[in-house]
Amino acid sequence: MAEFAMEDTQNSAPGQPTAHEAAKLSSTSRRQDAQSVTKRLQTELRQLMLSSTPGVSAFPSSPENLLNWTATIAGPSDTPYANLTFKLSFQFPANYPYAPPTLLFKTPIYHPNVDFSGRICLDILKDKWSAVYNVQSVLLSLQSLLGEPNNASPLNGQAAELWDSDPAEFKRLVLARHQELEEE
Amino acid sequence: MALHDRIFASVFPPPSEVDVPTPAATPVLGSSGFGESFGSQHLLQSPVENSAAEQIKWDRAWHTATSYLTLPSEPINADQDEKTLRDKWIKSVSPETQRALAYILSEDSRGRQIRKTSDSDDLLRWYFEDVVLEHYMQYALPGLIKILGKGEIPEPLFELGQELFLIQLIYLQPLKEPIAQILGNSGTAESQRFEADLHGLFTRTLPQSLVSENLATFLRQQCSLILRDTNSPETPNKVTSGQDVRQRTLQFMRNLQSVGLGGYQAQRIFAEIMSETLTSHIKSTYAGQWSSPSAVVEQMHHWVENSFSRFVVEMLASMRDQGAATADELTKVTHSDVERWQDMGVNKLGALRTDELFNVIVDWDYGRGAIEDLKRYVTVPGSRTYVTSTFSSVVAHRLLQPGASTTEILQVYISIIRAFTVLDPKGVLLDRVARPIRRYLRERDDTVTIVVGGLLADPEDNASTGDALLELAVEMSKNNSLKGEDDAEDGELDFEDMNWMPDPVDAGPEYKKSKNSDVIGSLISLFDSNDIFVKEFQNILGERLLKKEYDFDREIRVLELLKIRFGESVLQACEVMLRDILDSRRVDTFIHKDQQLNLDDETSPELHTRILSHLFWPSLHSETFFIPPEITSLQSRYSTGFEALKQSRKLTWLHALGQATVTLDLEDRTVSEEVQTWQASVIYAFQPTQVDDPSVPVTRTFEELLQSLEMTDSLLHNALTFWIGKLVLKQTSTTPPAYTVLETLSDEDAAQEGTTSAAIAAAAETATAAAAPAVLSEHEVAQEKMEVYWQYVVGMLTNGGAMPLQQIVMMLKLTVPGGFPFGNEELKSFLEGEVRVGKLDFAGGTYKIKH
Repeated sequence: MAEFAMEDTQNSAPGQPTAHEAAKLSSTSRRQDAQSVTKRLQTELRQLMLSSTPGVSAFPSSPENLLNWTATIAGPSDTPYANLTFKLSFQFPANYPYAPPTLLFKTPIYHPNVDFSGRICLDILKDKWSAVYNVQSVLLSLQSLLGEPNNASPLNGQAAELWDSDPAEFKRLVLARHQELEEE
Repeated sequence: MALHDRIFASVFPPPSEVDVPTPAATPVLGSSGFGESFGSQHLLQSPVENSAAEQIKWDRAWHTATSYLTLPSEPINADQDEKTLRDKWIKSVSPETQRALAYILSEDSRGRQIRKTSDSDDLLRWYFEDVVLEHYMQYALPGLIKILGKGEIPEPLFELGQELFLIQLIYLQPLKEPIAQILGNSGTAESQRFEADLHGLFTRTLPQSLVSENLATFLRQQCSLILRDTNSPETPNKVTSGQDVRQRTLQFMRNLQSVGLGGYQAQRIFAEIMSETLTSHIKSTYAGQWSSPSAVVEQMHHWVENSFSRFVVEMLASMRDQGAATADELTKVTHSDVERWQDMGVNKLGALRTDELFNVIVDWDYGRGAIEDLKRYVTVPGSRTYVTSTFSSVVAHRLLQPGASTTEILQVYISIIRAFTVLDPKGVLLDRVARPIRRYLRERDDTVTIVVGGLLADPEDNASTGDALLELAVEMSKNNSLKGEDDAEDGELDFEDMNWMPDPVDAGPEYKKSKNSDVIGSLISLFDSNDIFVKEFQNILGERLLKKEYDFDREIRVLELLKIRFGESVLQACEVMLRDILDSRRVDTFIHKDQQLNLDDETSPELHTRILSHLFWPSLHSETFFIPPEITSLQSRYSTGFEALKQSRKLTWLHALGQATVTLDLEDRTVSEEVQTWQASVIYAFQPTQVDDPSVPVTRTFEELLQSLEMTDSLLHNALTFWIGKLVLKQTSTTPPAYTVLETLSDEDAAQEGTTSAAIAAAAETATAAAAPAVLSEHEVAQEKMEVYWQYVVGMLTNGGAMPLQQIVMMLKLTVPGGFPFGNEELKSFLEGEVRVGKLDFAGGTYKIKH
């Protein structure tokens, strides 16, 4: 009986790729993905370098992996964040730009739409993401988010309240929370 | 019987030791045998009585025979004449001796019967062991060894042969003369046995190495004498002498054979010598014989069959035992042996050609015949590997080294491609030898430039292209059909192809048919991507388009050919460049008509342009300097005309790229020169103005010129040197440097013209040539790009914090599209510059951005 069973598994679905083959196929496609992501990120980097937008900059964190970037935003001058700089980490998915990158504030920030572990609530990083966005546009959106928080959906309720009610206290808290990251 | 013998022997010593035989008269006192009665008269015929008598008879006969057989105790002196020798060494046979010998040797003589068991009845054995052996060891051998030791090899051999022959003759004499007669039929066998023993003795006792060495040298000499040039036409005199030598050699070998020196030992030596002869014959006859079509292999086959084999057969026959009626297996030469020798010859020829291969290829086309020979050799994987590995090591040693210029290497590589294509049309061998060369060429910076330059070179114009690869241009013009590539692609899938052949057995895994056989294809494919090649082509094309007048047939042709290879899209930029130049003429004519630029009076300058679509051209020199106002006004009118013609397009003038025809009216002469624009600008600056005194020649200092022309030092210097060389300017002061126009050529200046100014003029020409390239070199382009990389560094250091140099380089290599073209050192010096201007901090081995 064992023989029959074995034969069964061998002959099952002759047209289908075996598990091994399937793995191989998907790995090829993943590799191609990785290549196209790398290429796309290189292009974005070059645009970013050539156009040099004031106040924002970004660069890959390590030579091994282009999917991890570090970005720097300068706080807009007429906001409580003026003269502060914030570091963020970018984590690009393998199917970027068809899925948004994951962003985290590395520098502690007091902001209605950012929680205490640095997670950001921004629509274009979630359901409103589109492949036409790029690192530069995301950074510019974040920069403007600093000046115009979306208080309708806060991650930090206190901050959302204070933003409108007590700007001075808000500014104090912002400065208290802010601290320069030590450089690795 | 045994007992009897013993008792007998106790009384009478054994006969062999008896020098004087018992006299016949001596009464026989024998004891009776066991169980025998004592001797009564009627028992006189008893065996005891009988054997005693026989014993005496035997002993006497033995004595006679042995004394006949004894040799004098002295060496045989071969120098003596025959008679003396004969008298001394050859004794006459008396009837008594004859009888004694007959008695002792006869199988059924009674004396012999008695001694049957005692092992002492064999006279011949006694003769050999006690007489010959002793004499030989004591008297003959030392002389022989002395002979071998003296004189130049192989002289001793002849003497040795003679001596041995004589010795053998003397030793054998008794056997030949009386004994053989007595023994009758079995005599020959006995004497042969004796001879064989003697030969054994000779070979064992003579120093082997000396004999072999002598024999080898002798054979080598004879072979070279006999087999040399036998296939080439020669004088009859030589033939006879060759025949003579041959006969003598054969005779001598027969002699050696007859004294036992021609056995297997000699045959082995002979075989070695013949192999050597084959090699040296091939080497001396065919080395450097590379003409095509090659008949070398056929000649060699013929030689092996007719000369070589014939000699071998004769020699072997002379070395064979004369006695042996049937030739034994080893010395028989069959047809298959001859074929094997011919194959050996081909192999040796192959080895020779392999050694010569590099020279053949360097002289390619002259050495086509050598390749044809080699083709006969590379039929088995072993020889193919031999050829490629040997050749590769020669190439690595002789070609791929800093001493060889890239042009030379490319030249040889082209020859290699051609030669190996003839050798092995399948391309496997070429693939193997080409790999290291290609790898090496990739490392050379100027490879691309030379290849592209070669493609664009003009094969008819020998003068201008001294070291360019004209080969390539020739190849390019003849190689219009590119069917090879298409064939290679679908060859494997074409099931209808009746000419399909499997890949050669020793083909590598990446083997592709005829991939490398086409010269241009393989040079172009040296680099992994076409980009490098296309870029270089673009640069050189740009250069040529800007330099030349309107005649671009060759460029167009090359471009078309490259398009076939690379595809249209890659070469689009070149296409545009070419069209720019061609369109320029039309546009130029049109604008001239439109703006009525030609209608001005005779004295005003003319302006013609090349309009380049800046995006498609390689980076160009864009230095600016002061342009004479007449030209500037012309330029602006021209621009207006152009903008009217092509709306929404604008002209940017590249001053440094143009050419100007300058006519200078000096007091005593008119100078007309075709010059670079900056040179024209400089001489224009010497135009007299209102402030200048018209009576003295115009003088300008270097500083003034630098100020007014807004030119770089080097360009200005270059231009001044040029005009001094043309005897238009003269340096009148060194501190500060000032230059004056030579309005009149004074006598001394004219005299100078022949000497120093010629050198200056040459210097001016080279200066012009050096500064002339219109297209920026790769390095210059890269320097410009450094600005872009600076942005990367800023981004990197802003976001990643302080970094050491190595990490910055790595990041740049990864992130810059197309790769980062600088090494650590270049980046370091660049970053140090940034540190100096205060944009960076350098501390603790890391660079940090300054906020």
